[in-house]
Amino acid sequence: MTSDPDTALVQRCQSSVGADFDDAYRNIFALYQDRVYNTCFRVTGNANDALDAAQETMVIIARRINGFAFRSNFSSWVYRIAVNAAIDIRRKRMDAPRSGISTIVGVADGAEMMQQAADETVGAEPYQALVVNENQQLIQSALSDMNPRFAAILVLRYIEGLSYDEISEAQECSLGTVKSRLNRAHQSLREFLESRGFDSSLLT
Amino acid sequence: MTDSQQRSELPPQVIAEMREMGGLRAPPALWQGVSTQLITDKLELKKAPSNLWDGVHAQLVEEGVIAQPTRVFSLRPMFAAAAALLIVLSVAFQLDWSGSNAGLTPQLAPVLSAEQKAEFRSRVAFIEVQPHEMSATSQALAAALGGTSSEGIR
Repeated sequence: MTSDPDTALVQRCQSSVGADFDDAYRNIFALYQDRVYNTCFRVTGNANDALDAAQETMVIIARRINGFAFRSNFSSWVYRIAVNAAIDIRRKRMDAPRSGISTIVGVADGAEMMQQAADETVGAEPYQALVVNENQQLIQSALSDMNPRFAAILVLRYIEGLSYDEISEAQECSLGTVKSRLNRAHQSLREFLESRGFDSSLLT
Repeated sequence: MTDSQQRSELPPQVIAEMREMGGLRAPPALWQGVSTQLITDKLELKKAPSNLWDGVHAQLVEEGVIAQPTRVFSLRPMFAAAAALLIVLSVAFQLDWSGSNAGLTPQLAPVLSAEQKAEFRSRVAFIEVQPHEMSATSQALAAALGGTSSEGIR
Protein backbone atom coordinates (compact mmCIF):
# COMPACT_ATOMS: atom_id res chain seq x y z
CA MET A 1 0.00 0.00 0.00
CA THR A 2 1.82 3.07 -1.26
CA SER A 3 -0.10 5.59 0.85
CA ASP A 4 1.16 4.11 4.09
CA PRO A 5 3.03 6.92 5.86
CA ASP A 6 5.35 4.38 7.48
CA THR A 7 6.54 2.83 4.23
CA ALA A 8 9.95 4.47 4.21
CA LEU A 9 10.63 3.58 7.84
CA VAL A 10 9.59 -0.01 7.38
CA GLN A 11 11.55 -0.43 4.17
CA ARG A 12 14.62 0.98 5.84
CA CYS A 13 14.28 -1.70 8.48
CA GLN A 14 13.74 -4.38 5.88
CA SER A 15 16.86 -3.44 3.96
CA SER A 16 19.11 -3.15 6.99
CA VAL A 17 21.10 -5.61 9.00
CA GLY A 18 23.14 -5.42 12.16
CA ALA A 19 23.61 -1.99 13.65
CA ASP A 20 21.75 -0.34 10.78
CA PHE A 21 18.70 -2.45 11.58
CA ASP A 22 18.92 -1.50 15.23
CA ASP A 23 18.98 2.14 14.29
CA ALA A 24 16.07 1.83 11.86
CA TYR A 25 14.02 -0.20 14.29
CA ARG A 26 14.64 2.32 17.05
CA ASN A 27 12.80 4.89 14.93
CA ILE A 28 9.80 2.63 14.57
CA PHE A 29 9.89 1.88 18.26
CA ALA A 30 9.93 5.59 19.11
CA LEU A 31 7.00 6.18 16.79
CA TYR A 32 4.81 3.42 18.17
CA GLN A 33 5.81 2.79 21.76
CA ASP A 34 3.21 5.10 23.32
CA ARG A 35 0.36 3.94 21.10
CA VAL A 36 1.20 0.32 21.74
CA TYR A 37 1.59 0.78 25.46
CA ASN A 38 -1.60 2.81 25.74
CA THR A 39 -3.59 0.22 23.81
CA CYS A 40 -2.18 -2.58 25.94
CA PHE A 41 -2.86 -0.70 29.16
CA ARG A 42 -6.47 0.00 28.27
CA VAL A 43 -7.16 -3.58 27.26
CA THR A 44 -5.30 -5.32 30.07
CA GLY A 45 -6.22 -2.77 32.73
CA ASN A 46 -2.94 -2.70 34.61
CA ALA A 47 0.58 -1.44 34.15
CA ASN A 48 2.44 -4.73 34.61
CA ASP A 49 0.39 -6.62 32.06
CA ALA A 50 0.48 -3.64 29.73
CA LEU A 51 4.26 -3.58 29.90
CA ASP A 52 4.44 -7.31 29.18
CA ALA A 53 2.02 -7.05 26.28
CA ALA A 54 3.72 -3.97 24.84
CA GLN A 55 7.11 -5.62 25.11
CA GLU A 56 5.82 -8.73 23.39
CA THR A 57 4.31 -6.57 20.66
CA MET A 58 7.44 -4.59 19.96
CA VAL A 59 9.58 -7.73 19.94
CA ILE A 60 7.22 -9.44 17.50
CA ILE A 61 7.34 -6.39 15.25
CA ALA A 62 11.15 -6.46 15.22
CA ARG A 63 11.20 -10.18 14.49
CA ARG A 64 8.63 -10.11 11.72
CA ILE A 65 9.07 -6.75 10.08
CA ASN A 66 11.13 -8.25 7.27
CA GLY A 67 8.08 -10.27 6.26
CA PHE A 68 5.67 -7.35 6.35
CA ALA A 69 4.30 -7.10 2.80
CA PHE A 70 2.27 -3.88 2.99
CA ARG A 71 -1.01 -5.66 2.42
CA SER A 72 -2.37 -3.40 5.14
CA ASN A 73 -1.18 -0.22 6.76
CA PHE A 74 1.79 -0.83 8.98
CA SER A 75 -0.01 0.86 11.87
CA SER A 76 -2.96 -1.53 11.50
CA TRP A 77 -0.54 -4.43 11.68
CA VAL A 78 1.05 -2.99 14.81
CA TYR A 79 -2.34 -2.48 16.47
CA ARG A 80 -3.38 -6.02 15.55
CA ILE A 81 -0.32 -7.46 17.25
CA ALA A 82 -0.77 -5.21 20.27
CA VAL A 83 -4.44 -6.04 20.73
CA ASN A 84 -3.83 -9.76 20.38
CA ALA A 85 -0.93 -9.65 22.85
CA ALA A 86 -2.98 -7.67 25.35
CA ILE A 87 -6.00 -9.97 25.04
CA ASP A 88 -3.81 -13.05 25.41
CA ILE A 89 -2.21 -11.71 28.55
CA ARG A 90 -5.54 -10.63 29.98
CA ARG A 91 -7.02 -14.07 29.36
CA LYS A 92 -4.02 -15.77 30.91
CA ARG A 93 -4.34 -13.57 33.96
CA MET A 94 -8.04 -14.33 34.25
CA ASP A 95 -7.37 -18.06 33.91
CA ALA A 96 -4.54 -18.06 36.42
CA PRO A 97 -5.44 -18.83 40.04
CA ARG A 98 -5.30 -15.72 42.15
CA SER A 99 -4.08 -15.50 45.67
CA GLY A 100 -5.52 -13.73 48.71
CA ILE A 101 -5.46 -10.01 48.30
CA SER A 102 -5.71 -9.85 44.53
CA THR A 103 -8.77 -12.07 44.64
CA ILE A 104 -10.50 -9.71 46.99
CA VAL A 105 -9.45 -6.54 45.24
CA GLY A 106 -10.08 -7.93 41.79
CA VAL A 107 -8.60 -6.61 38.60
CA ALA A 108 -11.08 -3.97 37.62
CA ASP A 109 -10.41 -1.32 40.21
CA GLY A 110 -10.45 1.72 37.98
CA ALA A 111 -9.06 4.15 40.53
CA GLU A 112 -6.12 1.94 41.30
CA MET A 113 -5.36 1.40 37.65
CA MET A 114 -5.54 5.05 36.79
CA GLN A 115 -3.31 5.93 39.72
CA GLN A 116 -0.90 3.26 38.58
CA ALA A 117 -0.81 4.81 35.15
CA ALA A 118 -0.44 8.31 36.55
CA ASP A 119 2.41 7.22 38.79
CA GLU A 120 4.35 6.04 35.80
CA THR A 121 4.35 9.49 34.31
CA VAL A 122 5.47 11.36 37.41
CA GLY A 123 9.03 12.58 37.25
CA ALA A 124 9.54 11.10 33.83
CA GLU A 125 10.00 14.31 31.94
CA PRO A 126 8.80 15.10 29.33
CA TYR A 127 5.92 12.83 30.24
CA GLN A 128 2.81 14.74 30.98
CA ALA A 129 0.88 14.04 34.15
CA LEU A 130 -2.42 12.38 33.43
CA VAL A 131 -5.71 13.96 34.06
CA VAL A 132 -7.41 11.29 36.09
CA ASN A 133 -11.05 11.85 36.82
CA GLU A 134 -13.85 9.73 38.11
CA ASN A 135 -15.48 9.30 34.71
CA GLN A 136 -12.29 7.99 33.17
CA GLN A 137 -11.81 5.65 36.10
CA LEU A 138 -15.27 4.26 35.49
CA ILE A 139 -14.65 3.91 31.77
CA GLN A 140 -11.41 2.05 32.46
CA SER A 141 -13.25 -0.24 34.86
CA ALA A 142 -15.81 -0.91 32.16
CA LEU A 143 -13.10 -1.74 29.63
CA SER A 144 -11.50 -4.14 32.09
CA ASP A 145 -14.83 -5.74 32.89
CA MET A 146 -16.21 -6.31 29.41
CA ASN A 147 -15.32 -8.86 26.74
CA PRO A 148 -11.73 -8.04 25.76
CA ARG A 149 -12.63 -7.97 22.07
CA PHE A 150 -15.21 -5.28 22.77
CA ALA A 151 -12.77 -3.39 24.96
CA ALA A 152 -10.18 -3.55 22.20
CA ILE A 153 -12.52 -2.17 19.58
CA LEU A 154 -13.53 0.72 21.86
CA VAL A 155 -9.89 1.48 22.56
CA LEU A 156 -8.99 1.46 18.89
CA ARG A 157 -11.99 3.56 17.92
CA TYR A 158 -12.17 6.19 20.64
CA ILE A 159 -8.87 6.23 22.48
CA GLU A 160 -6.56 5.59 19.54
CA GLY A 161 -8.87 7.29 17.05
CA LEU A 162 -8.76 4.69 14.28
CA SER A 163 -11.27 4.81 11.42
CA TYR A 164 -13.61 1.91 10.75
CA ASP A 165 -11.40 0.86 7.85
CA GLU A 166 -8.31 0.86 10.02
CA ILE A 167 -10.10 -1.12 12.72
CA SER A 168 -11.24 -3.57 10.06
CA GLU A 169 -7.61 -4.09 9.04
CA ALA A 170 -6.35 -4.25 12.59
CA GLN A 171 -8.99 -6.76 13.64
CA GLU A 172 -8.89 -8.66 10.34
CA CYS A 173 -12.64 -8.56 9.96
CA SER A 174 -15.20 -6.94 7.68
CA LEU A 175 -16.60 -3.45 8.11
CA GLY A 176 -19.93 -5.01 9.01
CA THR A 177 -18.33 -6.98 11.78
CA VAL A 178 -16.59 -3.86 13.05
CA LYS A 179 -19.89 -1.99 13.23
CA SER A 180 -21.65 -4.90 14.85
CA ARG A 181 -18.95 -5.35 17.48
CA LEU A 182 -18.85 -1.63 18.09
CA ASN A 183 -22.59 -1.52 18.70
CA ARG A 184 -22.34 -4.33 21.20
CA ALA A 185 -19.35 -2.69 22.84
CA HIS A 186 -21.30 0.58 23.14
CA GLN A 187 -24.14 -1.29 24.76
CA SER A 188 -21.84 -3.02 27.16
CA LEU A 189 -20.14 0.25 28.10
CA ARG A 190 -23.46 2.04 28.58
CA GLU A 191 -24.81 -0.68 30.82
CA PHE A 192 -21.71 -0.69 32.96
CA LEU A 193 -21.64 3.09 33.33
CA GLU A 194 -25.34 3.27 34.15
CA SER A 195 -25.00 0.58 36.78
CA ARG A 196 -22.07 2.36 38.42
CA GLY A 197 -23.70 5.78 38.73
CA PHE A 198 -21.98 7.49 35.85
CA ASP A 199 -23.38 11.00 35.49
CA SER A 200 -26.62 10.10 33.76
CA SER A 201 -26.87 13.43 31.99
CA LEU A 202 -23.75 12.47 30.06
CA LEU A 203 -25.35 9.30 28.79
CA THR A 204 -28.25 10.99 27.05
CA MET B 1 -33.03 8.08 13.75
CA THR B 2 -34.54 5.27 15.75
CA ASP B 3 -34.03 4.75 19.43
CA SER B 4 -31.81 1.73 18.82
CA GLN B 5 -29.66 3.71 16.40
CA GLN B 6 -29.36 6.51 18.92
CA ARG B 7 -28.35 4.01 21.58
CA SER B 8 -25.73 2.49 19.27
CA GLU B 9 -23.60 5.62 19.44
CA LEU B 10 -21.81 6.72 22.55
CA PRO B 11 -22.71 10.08 24.03
CA PRO B 12 -20.27 12.85 23.04
CA GLN B 13 -19.16 13.37 26.64
CA VAL B 14 -18.18 9.71 27.00
CA ILE B 15 -16.30 9.86 23.72
CA ALA B 16 -14.53 13.00 24.87
CA GLU B 17 -13.53 11.31 28.11
CA MET B 18 -12.17 8.33 26.21
CA ARG B 19 -10.14 10.53 23.88
CA GLU B 20 -8.48 12.02 26.92
CA MET B 21 -7.46 8.53 27.97
CA GLY B 22 -5.02 8.29 25.10
CA GLY B 23 -2.27 10.20 26.82
CA LEU B 24 -0.41 7.34 28.42
CA ARG B 25 3.31 7.28 27.76
CA ALA B 26 5.29 4.09 27.53
CA PRO B 27 7.64 3.68 30.50
CA PRO B 28 11.39 3.55 29.86
CA ALA B 29 11.31 -0.08 30.99
CA LEU B 30 9.60 -0.94 27.71
CA TRP B 31 12.65 -0.19 25.59
CA GLN B 32 14.90 -1.90 28.10
CA GLY B 33 12.79 -5.04 27.94
CA VAL B 34 12.49 -5.01 24.16
CA SER B 35 16.17 -4.35 23.52
CA THR B 36 17.17 -7.06 25.98
CA GLN B 37 14.87 -9.52 24.25
CA LEU B 38 16.19 -8.61 20.82
CA ILE B 39 19.79 -9.01 21.98
CA THR B 40 18.86 -12.39 23.41
CA ASP B 41 17.29 -13.28 20.07
CA LYS B 42 20.54 -12.53 18.31
CA LEU B 43 22.46 -14.68 20.74
CA GLU B 44 20.03 -17.53 20.28
CA LEU B 45 20.17 -17.30 16.52
CA LYS B 46 23.92 -17.89 16.48
CA LYS B 47 24.45 -21.54 15.65
CA ALA B 48 27.70 -23.38 16.08
CA PRO B 49 29.53 -24.00 12.79
CA SER B 50 29.57 -27.58 11.64
CA ASN B 51 33.36 -27.83 12.00
CA LEU B 52 33.36 -26.62 15.59
CA TRP B 53 33.75 -30.14 16.96
CA ASP B 54 36.71 -30.86 14.70
CA GLY B 55 38.62 -27.92 16.13
CA VAL B 56 37.66 -28.65 19.72
CA HIS B 57 38.45 -32.31 19.33
CA ALA B 58 41.86 -31.65 17.79
CA GLN B 59 42.68 -29.28 20.60
CA LEU B 60 41.61 -31.76 23.27
CA VAL B 61 43.63 -34.52 21.65
CA GLU B 62 46.65 -32.27 21.48
CA GLU B 63 46.32 -31.50 25.17
CA GLY B 64 45.87 -35.14 26.02
CA VAL B 65 42.46 -34.62 27.52
CA ILE B 66 41.03 -37.32 25.30
CA ALA B 67 42.73 -40.24 23.56
CA GLN B 68 44.00 -40.10 19.99
CA PRO B 69 41.38 -41.67 17.84
CA THR B 70 42.41 -44.42 15.45
CA ARG B 71 40.91 -45.56 12.22
CA VAL B 72 40.32 -48.98 13.74
CA PHE B 73 38.37 -47.33 16.49
CA SER B 74 36.29 -45.50 14.01
CA LEU B 75 35.53 -48.71 12.13
CA ARG B 76 35.01 -50.80 15.23
CA PRO B 77 31.29 -50.20 15.55
CA MET B 78 30.71 -51.42 12.02
CA PHE B 79 32.77 -54.53 12.51
CA ALA B 80 31.13 -55.23 15.83
CA ALA B 81 27.71 -54.95 14.26
CA ALA B 82 28.67 -57.25 11.40
CA ALA B 83 30.13 -59.82 13.77
CA ALA B 84 27.09 -59.73 15.98
CA LEU B 85 24.85 -60.21 12.98
CA LEU B 86 26.93 -63.13 11.80
CA ILE B 87 26.77 -64.79 15.20
CA VAL B 88 23.03 -64.32 15.44
CA LEU B 89 22.51 -65.75 11.97
CA SER B 90 24.78 -68.70 12.71
CA VAL B 91 23.02 -69.54 15.93
CA ALA B 92 19.63 -69.18 14.32
CA PHE B 93 20.64 -71.38 11.41
CA GLN B 94 22.10 -73.99 13.75
CA LEU B 95 18.97 -74.10 15.85
CA ASP B 96 16.76 -74.29 12.80
CA TRP B 97 18.89 -77.01 11.21
CA SER B 98 18.97 -79.04 14.39
CA GLY B 99 15.22 -78.74 14.77
CA SER B 100 14.46 -79.69 11.20
CA ASN B 101 16.72 -82.74 11.36
CA ALA B 102 15.49 -84.01 14.65
CA GLY B 103 13.31 -86.54 12.81
CA LEU B 104 16.31 -88.12 11.08
CA THR B 105 18.02 -89.09 14.29
CA PRO B 106 18.21 -92.87 14.31
CA GLN B 107 15.82 -94.29 16.80
CA LEU B 108 15.36 -97.86 17.71
CA ALA B 109 11.80 -98.85 17.35
CA PRO B 110 10.69 -101.93 19.22
CA VAL B 111 9.81 -104.73 16.92
CA LEU B 112 6.81 -106.38 18.35
CA SER B 113 5.81 -109.05 15.93
CA ALA B 114 6.60 -110.96 12.73
CA GLU B 115 3.72 -109.16 11.01
CA GLN B 116 5.22 -105.81 11.73
CA LYS B 117 8.59 -106.94 10.47
CA ALA B 118 6.99 -108.13 7.25
CA GLU B 119 5.18 -104.83 6.95
CA PHE B 120 8.37 -102.82 7.37
CA ARG B 121 10.25 -105.00 4.92
CA SER B 122 7.55 -104.49 2.32
CA ARG B 123 8.04 -100.74 2.50
CA VAL B 124 11.77 -100.43 1.97
CA ALA B 125 14.29 -101.30 -0.68
CA PHE B 126 16.96 -103.57 0.65
CA ILE B 127 20.16 -105.30 -0.11
CA GLU B 128 21.13 -108.58 1.29
CA VAL B 129 24.45 -109.10 2.99
CA GLN B 130 25.95 -112.07 4.65
CA PRO B 131 26.84 -112.01 8.31
CA HIS B 132 30.50 -112.50 7.59
CA GLU B 133 30.45 -109.34 5.44
CA MET B 134 29.45 -107.23 8.45
CA SER B 135 31.49 -105.98 11.33
CA ALA B 136 30.67 -107.00 14.86
CA THR B 137 29.15 -103.62 15.53
CA SER B 138 26.95 -103.82 12.42
CA GLN B 139 25.83 -107.27 13.38
CA ALA B 140 24.92 -106.06 16.88
CA LEU B 141 23.01 -103.09 15.41
CA ALA B 142 21.24 -105.34 12.94
CA ALA B 143 20.26 -107.71 15.72
CA ALA B 144 18.92 -104.77 17.72
CA LEU B 145 16.80 -103.73 14.75
CA GLY B 146 15.35 -107.17 14.52
CA GLY B 147 17.60 -108.77 11.89
CA THR B 148 18.72 -112.33 12.15
CA SER B 149 21.94 -113.85 11.00
CA SER B 150 20.21 -116.66 9.23
CA GLU B 151 18.16 -114.35 6.94
CA GLY B 152 20.69 -111.53 6.63
CA ILE B 153 19.98 -107.90 7.03
CA ARG B 154 17.18 -106.55 4.97
